[in-house]
Amino acid sequence: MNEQQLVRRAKKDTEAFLALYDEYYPRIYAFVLSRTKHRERAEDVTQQTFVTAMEKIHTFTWYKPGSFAAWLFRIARNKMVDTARKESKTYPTEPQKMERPELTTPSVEELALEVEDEHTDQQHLQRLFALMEELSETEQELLSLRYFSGLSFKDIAAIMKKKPNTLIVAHKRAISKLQKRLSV
Amino acid sequence: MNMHRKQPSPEDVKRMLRRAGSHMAENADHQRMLRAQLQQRTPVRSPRTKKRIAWSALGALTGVLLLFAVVRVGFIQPVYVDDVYTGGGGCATCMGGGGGSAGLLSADSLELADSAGMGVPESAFDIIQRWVPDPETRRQGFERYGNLLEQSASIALLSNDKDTPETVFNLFSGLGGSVANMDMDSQRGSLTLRGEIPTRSLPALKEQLEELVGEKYFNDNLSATSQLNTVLHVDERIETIQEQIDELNAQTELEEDEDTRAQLIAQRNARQTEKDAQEDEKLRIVNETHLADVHITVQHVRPWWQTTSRYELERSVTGFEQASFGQSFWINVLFILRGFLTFFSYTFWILIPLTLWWVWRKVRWERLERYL
Repeated sequence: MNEQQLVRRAKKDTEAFLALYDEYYPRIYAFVLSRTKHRERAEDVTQQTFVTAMEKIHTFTWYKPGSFAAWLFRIARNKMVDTARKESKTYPTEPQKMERPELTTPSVEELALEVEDEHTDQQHLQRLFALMEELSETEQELLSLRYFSGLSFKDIAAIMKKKPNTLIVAHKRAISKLQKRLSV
Repeated sequence: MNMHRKQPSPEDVKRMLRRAGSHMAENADHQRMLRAQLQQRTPVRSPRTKKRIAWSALGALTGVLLLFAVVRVGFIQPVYVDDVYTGGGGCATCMGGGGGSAGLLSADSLELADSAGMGVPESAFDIIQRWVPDPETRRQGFERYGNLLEQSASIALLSNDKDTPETVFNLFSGLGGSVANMDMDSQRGSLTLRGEIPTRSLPALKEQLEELVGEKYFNDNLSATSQLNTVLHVDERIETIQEQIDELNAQTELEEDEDTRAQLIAQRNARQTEKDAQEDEKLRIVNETHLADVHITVQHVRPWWQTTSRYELERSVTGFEQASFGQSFWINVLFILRGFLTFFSYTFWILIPLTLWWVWRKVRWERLERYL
């Protein structure tokens, strides 16, 4: 059953909705976590996102592939804004401390070897997040949607309401910035 | 600290980001917990959906009604109006046209008037009146057609009431008419009646029939009494002229004899009085004893939205009257709209299987099974 059929069935059928949930939970959660940088808050926002999606799915009209993803991610964005407003805090917030506080930057050699060592990985992630925070909000969101949620530029364009070509250029620029900073 | 690391390639950066993403997406406990929570819920069926269903039902109902109207208009084939006015014993609606074509006729072509579709007595009468100046020829004409004039009357009615034929028959009988033959169709609301009625009753019959259906839907070919009077009057005028000529001749011969002149005048006046009395008597006898042939047709006209030809549409709207410019405009608009309806009524039979096929595809079996 393709996504369009799933969405149509999900308007009446809980199981169909859960199939969509299974598909989208990791992407939504990764996106929200990358933006909030706070595990509990990310869980709350993800939960609110799916509950709202379930309540409002009857209002959704499928018009092309990717439209459901765009709709769902827009809900997530709105929930993040709402949560931030309620807590009177602005995003991005202080990054959550990961389990391993020590930050290191992976060398190209380490990356090339695809090191699976959890300890090293955590260090790399910490470093990466720290560097990402130096990017603009748009660039951060773009990279989150592209690499943490695995969306195409077309889908991201629909979510961020920008032209795909504009995003491709911004993406290239963001990667380039990270590239330079990682070498320092 | 290594301050001068080798710069990673863009692909390296992307790979790092992807790996970070895969780490971040993992939260199995929360995912399971939230899944269980969502499982307890059921998707909301919104008021909008209900509204949409209501609108769909209303649309379907409207469609069915429209379809019914289209099928009614498009498939019930017409129309008896055309049959009556173009066929049979006379052209009731083209009576006015007799005068127009009469202009082509001359004194020598009276027979043409009869043979060229001028079977309508009034047309022939008009022709004689208007186009035959020679008294003798006129006399011959009236002799020839006078009998016809005084013996027939043709009345056409349009009505959308199916009881009208019976009412007409009752009126006709009530005024002393006797039916020679009659074809009454109560279902179609039409009547063809041929019979005789005392000439004196004709004006009353005409008046009552006109009152029954209204001026717009009433048309009489001939008022026998007035035609008869006119014939008599013309005859009288011709005779009077002849008498005056004779008198003038006599006067010329005897103009010196004053006494004789006075006698002549007295004689002429006496003759005139006697003549008037004779004519009055003649008219009275004719009116009271003469039976006029009457041909009455009643045609049922349907309401405009049920008509199937432009002619019928126009008759329905304007009756026997000539349509005005505004009426013609709206009749044309209605006719075009009706044409569209008819067209769609035919295409409807093609659309039905297509629609069913589409619904068959659209509505899934499992949905049907849920309701069956």
